[in-house]
Amino acid sequence: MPPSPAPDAEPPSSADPDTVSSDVRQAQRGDLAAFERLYRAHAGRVMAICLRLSGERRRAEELMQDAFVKAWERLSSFRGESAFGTWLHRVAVNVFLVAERGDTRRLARVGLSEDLDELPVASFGTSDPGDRIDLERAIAALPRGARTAFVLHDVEGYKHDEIAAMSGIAPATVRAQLHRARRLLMEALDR
Amino acid sequence: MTDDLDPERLGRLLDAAARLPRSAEPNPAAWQAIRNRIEAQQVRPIASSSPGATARPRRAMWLAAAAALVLITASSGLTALLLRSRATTPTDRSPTASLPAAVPPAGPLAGPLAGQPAVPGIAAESVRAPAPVRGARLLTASASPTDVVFSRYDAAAADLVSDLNARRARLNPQTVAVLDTCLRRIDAAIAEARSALRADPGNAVVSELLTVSYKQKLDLLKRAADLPLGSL
Repeated sequence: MPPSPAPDAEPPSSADPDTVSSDVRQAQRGDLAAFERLYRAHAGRVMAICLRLSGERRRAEELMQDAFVKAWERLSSFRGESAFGTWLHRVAVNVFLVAERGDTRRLARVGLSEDLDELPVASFGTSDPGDRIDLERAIAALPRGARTAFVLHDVEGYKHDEIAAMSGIAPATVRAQLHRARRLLMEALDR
Repeated sequence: MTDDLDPERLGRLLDAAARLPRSAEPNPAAWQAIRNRIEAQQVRPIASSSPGATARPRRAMWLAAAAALVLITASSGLTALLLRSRATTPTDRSPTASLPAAVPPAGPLAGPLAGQPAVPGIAAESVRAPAPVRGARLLTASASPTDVVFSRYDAAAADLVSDLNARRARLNPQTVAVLDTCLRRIDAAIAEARSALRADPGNAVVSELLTVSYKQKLDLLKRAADLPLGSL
């Protein structure tokens, strides 16, 4: 089984770290132009996680905006102990989890598969085109809890305990949701 | 947990998951929307060096309050119309005959679902009451599905109210006052809709209004729970 990627494993952006640090310091002093540069450097990654977690474009746009507004508000709490992109990523995940928690308005997801066209298609399978499926669509079709567990653990590399702490659920529940997600995705491959 | 999953297929799945693209293009107008929100709400990085930088989105709270009032006005007006309409029909002479099962009193959390009259102050009482015990309110065996559904809203709201009570001393008094006013009015609207629903259990419009009112309450409480301490 391949190891899960850590949240830090993939560079959050191509921005120069020194430039990012400088922009962060300026933004912490209230410089909105500096914050815009941070946005430009990191919006793609934040959008991807929001889109993958929510499964729908409009919702993802809302979440991404919320995440950046929240990041602006909380910018002073960023101490540079992790990469800014990692911190921002976690802010976005938290925004999603808080929004989803108890949010009965989102029980019915609409237009799911079409919205996932926004993401570059990643194929699952061998070189045989007949075996390929759109993994993004399969993930989007998962039940919400299973999708969240799979995306955060198997795509983004968070640990069970981290997901449990952020989601406010038991680690065993995260494991169960992850197992369910994997089983459902593998079943989808058989179709 | 993964014992019953084929290791080879699982490996392929995880490999594919690890190779998923990590970037998606946001709406080109997204930054402007973010900027507008930051500027309109006068949001500043908390504890930044600029004077007045601790200002939180007070305007957001006022907008939430305004939205709540609009909703309440519409809800109350429609409910009143429905009740008036119903009062003119012969079958309404004994409305209590069609009431769903009574919901017992709520104990420490006296709220609209406890079957109390829709009077101002209910929300304030509930907000200031000691932290309610989750699930403390029991439904009778004959409680209607509607009662069960709204009891869940009530429990969720009670949790958030408990959080607010624990934090209120450390929040800005002005904001707390706005919250209390909004909650009081939303609770009054809930009580009124609840009363209307008891008189006409099958009325989908009133049921929807009640649902919307509860969502409004939860939304407001969630916003309140999200307020950083001492930042207002």
